[in-house]
Amino acid sequence: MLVLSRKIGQSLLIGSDIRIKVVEIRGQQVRLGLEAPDDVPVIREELHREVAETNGRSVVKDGAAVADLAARMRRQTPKTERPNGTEDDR
Amino acid sequence: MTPPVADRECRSALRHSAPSIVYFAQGLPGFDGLRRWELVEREETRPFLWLRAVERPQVALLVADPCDLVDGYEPAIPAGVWSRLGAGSETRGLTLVVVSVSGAEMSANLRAPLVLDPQTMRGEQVILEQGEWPVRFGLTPHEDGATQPGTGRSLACSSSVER
Repeated sequence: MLVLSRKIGQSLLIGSDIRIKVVEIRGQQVRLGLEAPDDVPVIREELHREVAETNGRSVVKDGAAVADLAARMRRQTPKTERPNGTEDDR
Repeated sequence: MTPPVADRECRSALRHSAPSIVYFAQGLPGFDGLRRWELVEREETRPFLWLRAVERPQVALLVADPCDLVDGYEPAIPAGVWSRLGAGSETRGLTLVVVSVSGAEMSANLRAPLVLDPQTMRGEQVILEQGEWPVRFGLTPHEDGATQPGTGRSLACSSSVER
């Protein structure tokens, strides 16, 4: 990993269009300003990891249990009744 | 009760976009390399839909239209998402959320909705860096089927999001 020292107000460029600027240092916390093109997602790594773990846990293991829970959801959400003749089961 | 118009629109858009294979160019977090996912609707598991990895069919997620689960869900989708999906200016995106089941407990990930463009059939799981939507929003249905707070209907349905 490349490690560089920066002072408050100084920046780094990644490529020509991503800029990371040190905005503030407060105790153990560093505030960074980021400029990146619209098509580059900027996400805190721990949030990405949490979503990845949640996705992994969400893989369905018991389809029968899902059908049971879905039936209960339908009873409390009458809105989800669909119009007749539009079934598309595969 | 009359279904909100937006809900009808997004469901019919899904039904009419057969085959319902969505291409996630960046994959889904936690499932690196799985980019093609098939949306499947099964009568016995409504209101949920299934999202099944085409290359690994044993990997299937339960997803749902957030309008069926939560009131007033209006995630702020960053503008860059639309350009990555190749969405035109007329596009109305669809939003689905991933549902987790653990025993009799269910939760929906409102922090990272799946945004789909029904025209290009491209999708992205958008992790919302801003805002307070929880990764685990409890959905546990009551045994008696009674409506509970947090699972009520929303008339201002937002699963069909304006670009």
